[in-house]
Amino acid sequence: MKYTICKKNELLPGEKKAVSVGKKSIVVVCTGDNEYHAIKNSCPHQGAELSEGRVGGTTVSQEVGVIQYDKINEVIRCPWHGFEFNVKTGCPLYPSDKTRIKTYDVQVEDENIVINL
Amino acid sequence: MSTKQTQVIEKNSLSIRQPIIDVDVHEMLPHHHDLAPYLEQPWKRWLTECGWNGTRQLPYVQHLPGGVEKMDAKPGDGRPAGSDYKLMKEQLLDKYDVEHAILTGLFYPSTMKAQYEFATALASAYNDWQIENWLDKDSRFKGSIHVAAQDPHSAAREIDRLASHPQMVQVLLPIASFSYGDPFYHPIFEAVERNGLLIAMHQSTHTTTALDNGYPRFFIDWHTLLPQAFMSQVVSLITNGVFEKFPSLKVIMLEGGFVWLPALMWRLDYNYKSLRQEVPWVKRMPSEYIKEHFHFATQPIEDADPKEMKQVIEMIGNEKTLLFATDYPHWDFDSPTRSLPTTLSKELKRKILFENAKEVYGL
Ligand code: FES
Repeated sequence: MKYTICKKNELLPGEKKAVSVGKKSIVVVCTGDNEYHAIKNSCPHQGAELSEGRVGGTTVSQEVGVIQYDKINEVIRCPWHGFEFNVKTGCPLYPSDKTRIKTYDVQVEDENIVINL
Repeated sequence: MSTKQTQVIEKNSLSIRQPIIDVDVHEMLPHHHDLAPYLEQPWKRWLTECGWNGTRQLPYVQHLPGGVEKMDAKPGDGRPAGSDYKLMKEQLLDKYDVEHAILTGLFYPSTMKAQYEFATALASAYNDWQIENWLDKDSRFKGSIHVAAQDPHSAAREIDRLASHPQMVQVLLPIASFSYGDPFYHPIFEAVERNGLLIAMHQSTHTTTALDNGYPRFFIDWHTLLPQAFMSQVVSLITNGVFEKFPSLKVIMLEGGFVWLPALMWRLDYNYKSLRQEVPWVKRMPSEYIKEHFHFATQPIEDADPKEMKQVIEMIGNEKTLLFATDYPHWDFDSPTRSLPTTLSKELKRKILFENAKEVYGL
């Protein structure tokens, strides 16, 4: 079943939008031009609404002591304890086999952002 | 430790031979002037003529029967306990079937706050003294290379100078008030890794605790709180990426306890989930580095309920983590036959008393 979230130009790179679809609370994130991803709007840690957090990049390092900023607009940080999650995969940025946020299929159709449940 | 538990251990210890590797044995200089023959000028003069009186003592009276020393380990002629090879042989090596005793000294030039070149010379002299007076006397002794860590490049040269000695197994870094994870100290780890040695960290008279400029009002406070400094070093090595930079490095923590490890692992792992951005070179969960790169000496093992102690050891999550130590000849000595909790399986006791150290030291 498809649900229209909003117009494409209403969600720009780095922006997010919380939506309720039926009983589901979902956060949709624009990770780049025409790139949208959706995850369950609930942090697997203690249940904060991820839509209240921040979308951005994160730090990476190829060499001890050297920091780069990368994965711009692909990471959502929880508003409470700041855990980071990759919005494309739902995986946390810390190593974990167990934790993963449910992701949903998002498409652009006729200039609309559409979620497929 | 209750009488009931100790009887069980005594019975067990009679039935099968249990060799020991003791990872913390203090050979002591009778007097710091004994280093003079091992020093070049001008350092020899600094020692003998200029009134240098050794690395600083603790600002506490240790009001035990023998002060810092186990009363019966004193040679009785004014020399400090741990300075007489024959007595150590009789009271420790032979008495307890010690297959290897890792010497850790107690003369730590790394804690000297000034005159680094002198500290470096003293470390070298101590190493040569240790070889001639201890390692050469008994092949059961394994040695620690002492360095002046405040000059890491000189320390690395000293490590390169002595690493090929067949009885040298580790580099000793005393814990004071600075963090060894700091990149400033990395040349030491590089030299240790390149020479296939280990790092051992031991408390010192310069180990500071959290409040009161490091030295609280009472000795009981300081001694109880020493784990604070050990925890700080563990965290510092991990967050500074030491094990990403030196992936084969192993660190032995001596005399700082171990029962706090589960709590430290939980707290550091939890913080890592929130604060990883600050230290992105830390690639794994911090507790994974602890389990893979650290070993902890058991002494001074707390006199806890043996059932609870067993639970804590299980919570650490790696049967290879603990290594047995007596701390001979000091007042808080742990007996090889009577200190480990009776609740541990024979296999685990054997690992702690012998096999873990044999593996990590490659003995
Ligand atoms: S609730 Fe999200 S990090 Fe704690």
